[in-house]
Amino acid sequence: MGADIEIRGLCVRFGSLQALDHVSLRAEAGSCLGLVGESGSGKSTVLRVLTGLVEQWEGRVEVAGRALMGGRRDLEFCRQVQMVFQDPYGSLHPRHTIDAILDEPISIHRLGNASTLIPQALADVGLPQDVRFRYPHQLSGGQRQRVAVARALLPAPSILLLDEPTSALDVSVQAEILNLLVALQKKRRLTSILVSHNLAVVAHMCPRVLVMDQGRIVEELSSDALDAGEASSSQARALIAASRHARTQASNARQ
Amino acid sequence: MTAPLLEVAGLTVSFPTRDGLHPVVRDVSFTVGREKVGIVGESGSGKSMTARAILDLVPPPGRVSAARLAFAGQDLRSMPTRERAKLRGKRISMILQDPRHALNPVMTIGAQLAETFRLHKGANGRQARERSLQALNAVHIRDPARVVDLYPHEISGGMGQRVMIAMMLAPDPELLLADEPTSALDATVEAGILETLDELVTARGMGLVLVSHDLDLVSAFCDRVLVFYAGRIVEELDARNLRAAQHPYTQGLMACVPRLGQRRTELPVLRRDASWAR
Repeated sequence: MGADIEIRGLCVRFGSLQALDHVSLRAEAGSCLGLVGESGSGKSTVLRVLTGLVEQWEGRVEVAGRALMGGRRDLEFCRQVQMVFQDPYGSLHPRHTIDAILDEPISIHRLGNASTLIPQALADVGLPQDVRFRYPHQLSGGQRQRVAVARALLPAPSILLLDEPTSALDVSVQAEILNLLVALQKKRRLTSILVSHNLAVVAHMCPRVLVMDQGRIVEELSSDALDAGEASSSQARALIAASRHARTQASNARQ
Repeated sequence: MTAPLLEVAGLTVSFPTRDGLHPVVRDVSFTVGREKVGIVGESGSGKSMTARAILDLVPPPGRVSAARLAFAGQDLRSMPTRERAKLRGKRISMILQDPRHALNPVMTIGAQLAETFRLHKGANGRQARERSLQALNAVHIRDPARVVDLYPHEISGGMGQRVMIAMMLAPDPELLLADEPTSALDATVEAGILETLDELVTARGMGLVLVSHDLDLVSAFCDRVLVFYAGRIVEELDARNLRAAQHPYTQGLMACVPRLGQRRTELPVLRRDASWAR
């Protein structure tokens, strides 16, 4: 079962750069919230503040009713909130087997018996059992991302943060990972925040989408409004145009 | 009818492994005229290796063989290495995926661009700088006078890719190979870069080979599309008739992309058939 995330007036500065400027958002338990924007718009910084990877910030951040401070997170928080990163080539230890990678959350959070949990975790994300004793370089990009998802789900988190989970993957593999994430999110009723610059990906997964630009939230859209192309801010319109660009051009040529 | 710009027939690229030669490109044949041709396929399908083989840039120990590999009627296979190096850059050039790796990090943009003009066009220092400014202007960089003196790390990825395009177009090549030119960039920036590329290629009447894994994008910017799978061309299509694709792989590639205004609870997943790779 998921938990609420509530952020009010979040500000982050990196030197002279105002990375986040009074960002407020709320993700209800069990819902999936999308964050879109160009690179540098601050969407990943929101996730990094939540997980404690950014230590200096101002504002109020509450997860499951508990207020967060600075960059310190306790073990229980780390069990409840898990993150999947963009690049499955960089986020898995190259010299650990999949077994060792998945064993880590089990031993840290004392989840129980690895010999039953690891096969179950692999099955949950649709990986064959013979993957268990291989190294990351022996897997394809899509399989690696599945391992990263399996690792994130092992401690049975209530909140899953997804930072561009399919950007480093081929379109053919992207569909598999998106299907997996949608199914898991529904089945486990996870509260998720999905960050991406691909509007179509976000609209596919999230009923509610926030558009960010230069550290600010400029617009909130429902995925229905996105499908209909209804957006008032120029940033959101630019993103919609970009995701449709290919097809409008092709249809122009056809006429 | 003159000879097409690029003729490729029976191109095979293979790498030696413990179990013998492993082919990554297998018996690929196509021609490119003064048109825009797209090469689409997933990672490992051999699309980049095909582009590299044309430029003789396959890294060792890779081996290239072809029944015919010709540029503007000249046979590339029998051409001495030195001659071929002259062709590279001057008449055929290549845009790589990530401008952050392709630009020299310790040279200013202006110095790198000027070098191209001096090398290929025999321009002197002042001419080279002037032409660099014009080139930056042509790729729609605002305020080129400021950008010429910047280092690659001081500009954005999109700007870096525009600089790359300016640099690659500087010697007025006849054929441009673009290997995933926008994969490292944002969706909003991507459109602008491709439009610029399209505009310049069309205006100069060049040939363009655009390599990408994004079928939608390739079909929007190219006249013809070659679909690669496991090192082979499985289908060749007119970009306008993409919907008429026959091969299940091409159909699968089109169906699995999430699109706005097309809500599906589950995306169709590409089911691979072992017979496609044969």
